[in-house]
Order: sequence, then C-alpha cells, then structure tokens
Amino acid sequence: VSQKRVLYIDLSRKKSEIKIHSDLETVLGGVGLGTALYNDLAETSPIILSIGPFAALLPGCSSTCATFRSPLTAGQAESYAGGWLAACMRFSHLDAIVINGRSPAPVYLVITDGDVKFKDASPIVGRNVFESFRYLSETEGFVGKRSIVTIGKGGENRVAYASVNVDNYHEFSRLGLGSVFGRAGLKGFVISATESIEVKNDALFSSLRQEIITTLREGTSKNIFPGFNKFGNVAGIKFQNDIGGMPVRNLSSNRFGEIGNISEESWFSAHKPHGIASVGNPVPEKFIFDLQDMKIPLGYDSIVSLGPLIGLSNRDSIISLRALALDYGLDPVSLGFVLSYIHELEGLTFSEDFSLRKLVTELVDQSEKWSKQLSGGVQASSVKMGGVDFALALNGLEMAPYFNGYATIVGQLAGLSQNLEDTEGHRLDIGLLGRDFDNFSLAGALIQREKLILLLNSLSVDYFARGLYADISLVFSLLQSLGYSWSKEELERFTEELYYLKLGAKKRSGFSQDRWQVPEKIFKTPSAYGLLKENRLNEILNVYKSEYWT
Amino acid sequence: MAKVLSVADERACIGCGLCVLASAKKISGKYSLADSPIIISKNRDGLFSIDIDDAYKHRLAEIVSVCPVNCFEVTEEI
Repeated sequence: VSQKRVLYIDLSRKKSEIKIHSDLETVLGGVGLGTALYNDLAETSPIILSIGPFAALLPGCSSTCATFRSPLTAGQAESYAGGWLAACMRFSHLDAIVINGRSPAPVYLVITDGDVKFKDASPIVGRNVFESFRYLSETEGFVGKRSIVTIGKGGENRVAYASVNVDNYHEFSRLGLGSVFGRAGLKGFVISATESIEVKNDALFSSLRQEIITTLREGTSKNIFPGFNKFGNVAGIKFQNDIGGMPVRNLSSNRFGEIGNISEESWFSAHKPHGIASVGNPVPEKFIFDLQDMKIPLGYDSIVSLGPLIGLSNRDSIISLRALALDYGLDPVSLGFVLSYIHELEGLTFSEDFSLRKLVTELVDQSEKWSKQLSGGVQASSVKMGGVDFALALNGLEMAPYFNGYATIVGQLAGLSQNLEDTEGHRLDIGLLGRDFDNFSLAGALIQREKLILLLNSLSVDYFARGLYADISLVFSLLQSLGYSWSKEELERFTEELYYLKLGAKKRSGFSQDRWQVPEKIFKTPSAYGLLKENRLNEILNVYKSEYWT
Repeated sequence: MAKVLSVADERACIGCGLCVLASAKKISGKYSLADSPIIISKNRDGLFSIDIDDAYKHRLAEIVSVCPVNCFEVTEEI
C-alpha cells in the first residue's frame, strides 16, 4: 500500500501516463507526497494534487493538497480543498495527479480510470465558475461519483490571487492556484471514481472509524475545533472581535463597532443557512446562504475579509460580494485586502453594492492600467502605486484576517507555506493573551505545531479534525489497519525530514531569512496582544535563523 | 412484509456521502462510490437529491442510523 500511483498529465503534448512509484514509499501522502514530487520537477513548475492514506475513508479527512509555484510569493505553495475531489482520487486509486506543460488553446480534462481525455474548453472560456460548473456537470455525466474542478475569469485573466473551485462550494483558495491553471491553459477537469477499496484489517478500521464518527457527531470532545459543531467554519467572528483581533478597515482598528450585524449568531438567526459536508464528514464544515436562486458558502475568512476589513456590515452586501468572488474564482481573503488597500489609497468609502461590484469586475477584466497593476496582489501593486506601508501582505501573500499577536504574524512569515492555518499562530496567540512569553518558546511552539500539521496534512486530515487526529497512537493504529507498516519512530522521522525538505525548497525559490516583508501598519494598530514592536518581531524571527534553520 | 430503506427528508441532506460509502460496504464489503446502491447528486437549486437502487433497498435498513441528519426512514414494503 505504500507504493504511490501517480497520474502524469502533459498539457503541451496532450499525453498522460500512470507511474507506480516504489521510490516514494516513505513520504506517506498529501503534502509529503506533493513536496517530494514537486522537488523533482520544480524547474517545470508543475501543478500537483495529492491525497493521503486517510482521504475519503475516515471522517474529517477530505482534504486534497495542491502543490504549485505561487504567483504571489514566487515560492512553492500549498493550498487545500474539500468536496469530493479526494474521494474521486481515492476511488480511482490515484495518490497524486501531476500536471505539466501548457496547452496552446484552453482545455478541460475528463479523467476516468486513470485515462485522460483532453477536451476543447472554448464553450466555457470566458465563463465564470457557476456556468462552467453547470456546463461540465451536464456535458460529462458521472452523476454521484464525480468531482468537478474549474476556474473562472479570475484565473483565465491570470489574477495572481485567483482560486480554483471544487464542486461549487469548495475552493483551493489561497496563494493563486487559479492563476496557475489559467497560465497552463487549463480551464478545469472532471474526475470520476470507478474503483472500490478493501481495507486490510477491516474489524479494527471499522471500529476506530465508528468511534471518530460518534465523537464528531456528538461534538463533546475538547479536541474538536471550538464552535464548529454549531457554526462550522463561520465560528469565531464574535470571539475575534471581543479579543481585539479583527482587522477592520484595512487594519485601522482591531474591533468592529457593528459586530452585532455580522456575528455568527446574527448570520444564523437571520439567514438559516444550510450545512454542507465534504465526503465522509458527519457534520457540516461549511454553510451555504441564499442569494436569489443561488447558494453561496460563507465562512469566517470570507465574512471578515469582505465585511469589517472593508467597512461593510450589511449582510446582504457581504453575501453578494462573496458570490461575485466565488463566481469569478477569486480568493475572498486576498480580494478583501486588495479592496481595503484601494480603500485607504484612494480614500474611498465602500457602502453601495454597485460600486463594489463594478470595482471587482474591473479588477478581473483589467482594462485599465491600475487594475492591471492590482492583478499582482497588494504587495506587488504598492511598489508601483504607493502605499507600501499599508499594503497588508506578508512576504507577498495578503495576510490572513486575524490580528491576534506575534505568533499570528510570525506564523505567516516563517511558516513554510505562509498559510496561517499551517502554523495556527493565531490560536497560539490566544493562549498568550495577557501573558509574557520568551521568544524561544514562541518559535519552538510554532515549529512544533507546524510539524504536527505537516503530518496531518500528509494524511489528508481537515483543519477542524486536527485535534482528534493529533493523537499519534490513533494515527498509528489507523495506518496499521490500512496495511501501512510504519512505526511511530518512522512517522516522527518522516515529519522531521519533510519540514527540512520544504525549508530547502523555500530557500531555493529565493526566500531570504534576512529580508522580511512586513508593512509598517502592523506596528501602528494594536493587535489582541497589544501594540506589536518591530524589534520584538525581528528577535523572534532571528530565533528561527539561529536555532532551527541553520 | 420486508423492511426497506426510503428517503424521508431529502432537503436535510448535507452531501456527506456517509450513506453512499456505508451502503457500498454493506452490499460488496468494499468502500466505493461507483458500486454504491445510493447516489447523492446536486440539484439545480444547490441542494441534494438521494436515489436508492430499488434492487437493494430491502438490504439497507441499517443505513438509516448512518445519516447524521436523518434523511432516511425504514418503511414496510407494500
């Protein structure tokens, strides 16, 4: 079971083949497999989709990992999406899909049983996510056993923060995978699942699986993400505001005066959203909200980035803006920071849907010089347009919509993927509120957490279930039941080696540990921890350099 | 009369597919999407449809407890 079955797709030559990798037996899967494959092919900047051994077989394990070169950071990046994609890869016996090359004309792919058909995408070129999804759904069939992946005009027009949509309600959101699809001439793909899986030690596996399902359904375990069972990924809005960790109006403030309009309680009582679960999850991790005849997914990140960050408190306006971002295929977080940057640069006030919709449409269409410049994200734009001090990106990537303290910022700067969820620095900060800490402990705790998350991301564990699967004995038993003969020591060694493999890749991609790109505004507005000091931040970052990265 | 699995509340479905996997396992002993007697698909209104293969519905009564949002019920075949 440790051999890896990888589908290689060459868009330039319109060829595909499956390779069995016995040389990758020691990389588990997910981000581990993606990193190993990317390392071998980095010069060609491939797109790699990979899953881990738990994907689609266990609850809370629905994440597919995408590894690619980010147009925002220019380095190796990862992004994760749920939906049915991981299940369709699992039930096609594919551990990874490696996409290389560029198609001279836009194509979409139909992947069945490892066989790839390259199809003319002209009927959906220039169309956004909803229409493209509908076209692929109605044209390609495989109802009930497929996953549909597509980009909108954001990706086609190479907006650096474009996302890739999965099954309508899920996205590879951060770091610009949509732009990479657009550059490759790949409009999307449909993958169908035709195979079955027989578990080696079924009695042990079924009993452990049932325990996890029960724990998630009951929602009583302290290891489940706080608030998750009631509000899914909408949870945390009021709490973040209460502690003063919410970025408001381009980080002019850390608390939003109109929080009553956008707290999770107000969203749920006024809109009665419908829950959505990725494959195998017994509780909804997302909620979809009605907008005319559409259903729009909203979570903490999209609500805060398209709400308080740009000064909006009207829920209908936030849903409408989120729908536009979803349809164009844009990361709502980066879009929020682009809008809030324009807000400050031009002294605008966003209050009307119309002006905002017009602005977002222009950011995608890029018919003006300013909108072309903004297509690279706020950091790149600010070099040309001004406002470097308040262009809220960290090393190229628009920051996450949390402002809790030092660990939140360090986690994004020194975290190897730059995605805050991969270090959970914002959660570490919550435990530090009102307390002093030493720099070594903070950096050490962040790295320890990042290594654990690397392991969980190699298994395809979803963010909300990390607490359950952080029990290494459970992971070990589950792997054994699936036929993996890994020892606990091997698991630890794998995680350690993966961290330094990723660090090596980050350094090779031009990352400098002597030049951190942090906008001054970070030090001018209080975080939940209080006002952050540049010297203290640099001292913590230097611990990485002196203690861990030598 | 035989007890059969039937759909009680389709609009509650969250699309988790636990019933799809559990019914495939029940019928074939393997986890699968393609060989499952239950198909979940997305409607035009953005919610989900549930289809149970008539040939297997009398063998799937226990699936009723698998659904976390009570989409199914067990009825007596007429």
